[in-house]
Amino acid sequence: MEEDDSLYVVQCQNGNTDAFGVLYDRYVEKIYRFVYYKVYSKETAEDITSDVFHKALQKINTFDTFKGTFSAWLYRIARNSVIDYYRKDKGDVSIEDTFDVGFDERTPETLDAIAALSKVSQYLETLTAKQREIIVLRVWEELSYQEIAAIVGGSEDSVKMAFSRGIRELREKCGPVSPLLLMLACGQLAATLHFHDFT
Amino acid sequence: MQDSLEHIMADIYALEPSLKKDDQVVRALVAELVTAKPTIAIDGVFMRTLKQELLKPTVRVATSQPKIPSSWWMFMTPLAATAVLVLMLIPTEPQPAQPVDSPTMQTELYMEAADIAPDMKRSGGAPSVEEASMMMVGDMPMADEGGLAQDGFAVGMYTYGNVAAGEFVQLSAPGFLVVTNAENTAVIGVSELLLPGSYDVVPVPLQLPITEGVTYLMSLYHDDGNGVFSITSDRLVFDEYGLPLQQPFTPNNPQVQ
Repeated sequence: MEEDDSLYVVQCQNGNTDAFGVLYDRYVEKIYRFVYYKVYSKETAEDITSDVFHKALQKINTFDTFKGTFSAWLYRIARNSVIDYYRKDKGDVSIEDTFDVGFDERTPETLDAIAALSKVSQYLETLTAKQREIIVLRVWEELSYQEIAAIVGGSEDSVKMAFSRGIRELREKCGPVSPLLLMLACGQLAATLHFHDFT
Repeated sequence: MQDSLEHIMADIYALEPSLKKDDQVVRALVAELVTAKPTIAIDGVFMRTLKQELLKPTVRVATSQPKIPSSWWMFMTPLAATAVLVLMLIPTEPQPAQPVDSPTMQTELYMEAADIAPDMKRSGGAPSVEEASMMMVGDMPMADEGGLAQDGFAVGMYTYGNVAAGEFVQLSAPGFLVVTNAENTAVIGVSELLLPGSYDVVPVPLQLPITEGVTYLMSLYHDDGNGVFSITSDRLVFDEYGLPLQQPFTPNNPQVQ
C-alpha cells in the first residue's frame, strides 16, 4: 500500500527533496491530464504543468497537512495556474466572456452528427463552467465528490448536486435526440470540448 | 470501466431519482462520456526533464560543519606555526592574549527550486490569483489551498437535552446556526452570534422541545449587523451553486428533560 502523501510532504518540508520526487511521480500525469482537459494543447499543458510543480515545491512549506490533502492542494494550484494562463493570454476579460466551447467541424462523420453536435454544444453552453468541470473530474478523472469539492470549492453535497443537475440538464436540453445521435454527438464533443473555468 | 459507470449511475439516481425513467438515455449519455475520455499520453522526456529540474541540488548551501581548509591554508599553516614558535623563543615583553575569532557556525540549508522554465512568462505587479490563493490561512476562515468551503456546517450526531449541535461550522461573516421546524416557519433554537471563522462544534440551545423521529432543519444565516438573530432580516447563506446551507435532521435519541 502506498504511504500517505502527508508523510512525504513533511519530509519535503524538512529538506528532503527526494520526498518531493515521490509526490511528483504520483501526480505528474494526473495534473498533466487535468490541465490538458482545459487547454487541449500539449505545449501549453507542459508549460502549465511545469509551473504547477515549481510553485508546489516553492510553496511546500506553506502547506498544512491538517487543513486538507496534498492532492487537492496540488489540483487547486493547477486550476489557478490555468486561470492565470488564460488571463494573461486574453487580458482583462470577464469570466463569462472567456467561456468558450469549441468543436472541430471536420471531425463529425455525418451531417446529422454535425447538427447534433451543434445542438448539444448549445445545450452545454447553458451549463455553468463549474458543472462541466465537475463532470470531467468525476467521469474522466474518477475523483471522489469529496476530492472534487476540495478542488473546486463548496461542500461535497453541493458538488453532488451540481453533478446530477448537470447530467439532468444535459438530458433535458438535448430534447428528442435519438440515443444513437446523442452517443455520437457526445463522443465527438467530449473529444474537443474545452472546459475553461475562471471562477 | 463498467464498475465506474455503475457507480456513477448509482450516484445520479440517488441524487435525482426522477432520471430513472430515462435510464436508457441517461446511461447512454454517461457511458459515452466515460468512453470518450481522451487518451492523454504525457511526454516521457518532458516528465523526466521536469523532475530533474525540480530536484536539482541547491546552489547555495552553508552547513554547520567546520570548513575544510583549502590547500593554501594547508601549505601556509606549518610555516606560520614555525614563525610563531620562533617568535615565542625570542624574549619579548608579554603580549596580551589576542582573541581568536572562531569560524561562524551557521546552519543554513537551502532548498531552492530551479528557475521557472524560460518560456513561461512571470507574473509581475499584483499577485496573481494563484499567489493570492496560496497564502497560508492564519486566522481567516477560508483555507483556499486546503480546499475548505467558505461557509458550511454539518449537523452534529447527537442532540443532548435542550441542545442541538452543528459541527465543522465555517463562516465568512458573523452569523448564526439556527434550528427550525422542517418547513422553516418556526424557530426552535439559535446559536450565539458566531464571528467569522471555523468551529468544531457549535451548540444550538433549543427553546422548544423536539420530538424523536420528527424532521427539523438546521440552517446557517449571516447577521444583518445588529448582532441579534431575526429570521426575516438576517440572510440565509447559500453555497456557490445557489443552494441554501440547510440540512434536515431527525433526532434519534429522545430529548432529556
